[in-house]
Amino acid sequence: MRQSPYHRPRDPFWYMRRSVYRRYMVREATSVFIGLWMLNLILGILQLSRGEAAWTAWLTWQQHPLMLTFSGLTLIMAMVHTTTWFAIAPKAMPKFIAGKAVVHQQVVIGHWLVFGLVSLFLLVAVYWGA
Amino acid sequence: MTIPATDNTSETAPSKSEAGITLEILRYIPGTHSEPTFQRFEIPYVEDWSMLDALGYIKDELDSSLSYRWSCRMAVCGSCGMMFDGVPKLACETFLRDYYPRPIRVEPLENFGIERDLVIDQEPFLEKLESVKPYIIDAMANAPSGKPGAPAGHERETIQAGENRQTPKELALFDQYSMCINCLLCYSACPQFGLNPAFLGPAAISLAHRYNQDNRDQGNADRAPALNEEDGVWSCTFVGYCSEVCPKSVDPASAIQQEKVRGATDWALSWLLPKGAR
Ligand code: SF4
Ligand code: FES
Repeated sequence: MRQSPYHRPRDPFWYMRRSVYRRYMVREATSVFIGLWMLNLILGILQLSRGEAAWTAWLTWQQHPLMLTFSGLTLIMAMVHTTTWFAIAPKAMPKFIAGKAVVHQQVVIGHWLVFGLVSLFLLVAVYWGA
Repeated sequence: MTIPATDNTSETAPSKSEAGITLEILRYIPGTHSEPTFQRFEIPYVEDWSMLDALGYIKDELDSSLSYRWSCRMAVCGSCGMMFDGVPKLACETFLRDYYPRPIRVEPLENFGIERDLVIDQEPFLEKLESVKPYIIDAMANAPSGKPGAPAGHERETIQAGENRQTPKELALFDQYSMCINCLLCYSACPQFGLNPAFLGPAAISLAHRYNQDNRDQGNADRAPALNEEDGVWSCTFVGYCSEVCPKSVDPASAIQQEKVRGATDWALSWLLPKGAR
């Protein structure tokens, strides 16, 4: 009879073993910062609904050096996430779109273009809108 | 005909006084070893030896009990996958000279059960492969005399039914994915498969994608259940190392992402479209 195969124990720190895995874990870890920052934003909306005093308190808290550092760090993390994500985005693309072969470089450039335009629009809307 | 008397001893039977190299091979013989342990082998260093040649030397000259799989010696059959210094590679296209003079660690493919020495258990993979139906389903449905959806009659299977033509572009949609040799290097590269052995995995999904992309095939719906369940494409978190180690440039990561897009689109359409139109 066939012996059942031997299974080696799994290394709990597998993600430290290869640079590819470490880079992957960094990409995943960036979302923790983005998640926390979103929580902060939701908290802000909650404070807004509680009246002016609560809202101003939240706004002041945002200017605290600790929060500024956190926001800056989150911005860097978001950029890391965006860059790594855009770089692998072509893999999710079909080989042809509307009969034309998809060029990987163009997909990446297209992502950055849309990203840039949306960011610009939001900046303009925030500063000159309202 | 006389053969010129050249000194070709280094090619066939290198003497021990020449340069050597050390291989540390993970050994496991069920019934004899309770767990795998490394065994060192000192072998002659021959510049043009592949790892497969080195293993062959050990089996012929030093220890005939060493087990490993191989067949074609030219990266076609996919049997000789193993880990060299922790990186999954084909033994027949990995060379001693790329490691010399350092010792080389040779281990069976990671994330698989070990049958014996460097031989891993392929059974679970073969079951997965079967589950995605890696063959053309109802090939002649779109042939001139065929009708899509009609049961495959014997008549339609014959050449009288007409040619099933394919343009270069239609071929380009899947040919890269048809290059897979089932070597399983991608499974050893995948940490998600390591954490969850039920994950369908890179090669099985690539082959499913290969047939899903083939315009002669009518089996997308048959493959959907295996692909779209939790252990299907959705277990992939896009680490991407599978595509780096693939010796055939199949790029399994791209197949998985494209099948995710297909799965999500089908799901969205299933809400939007009336039943009959899907
Ligand atoms: S996809 Fe590449 S690495 Fe994976 S089994 Fe096929 S040939 Fe091997
Ligand atoms: S022996 Fe066939 S792929 Fe290496």
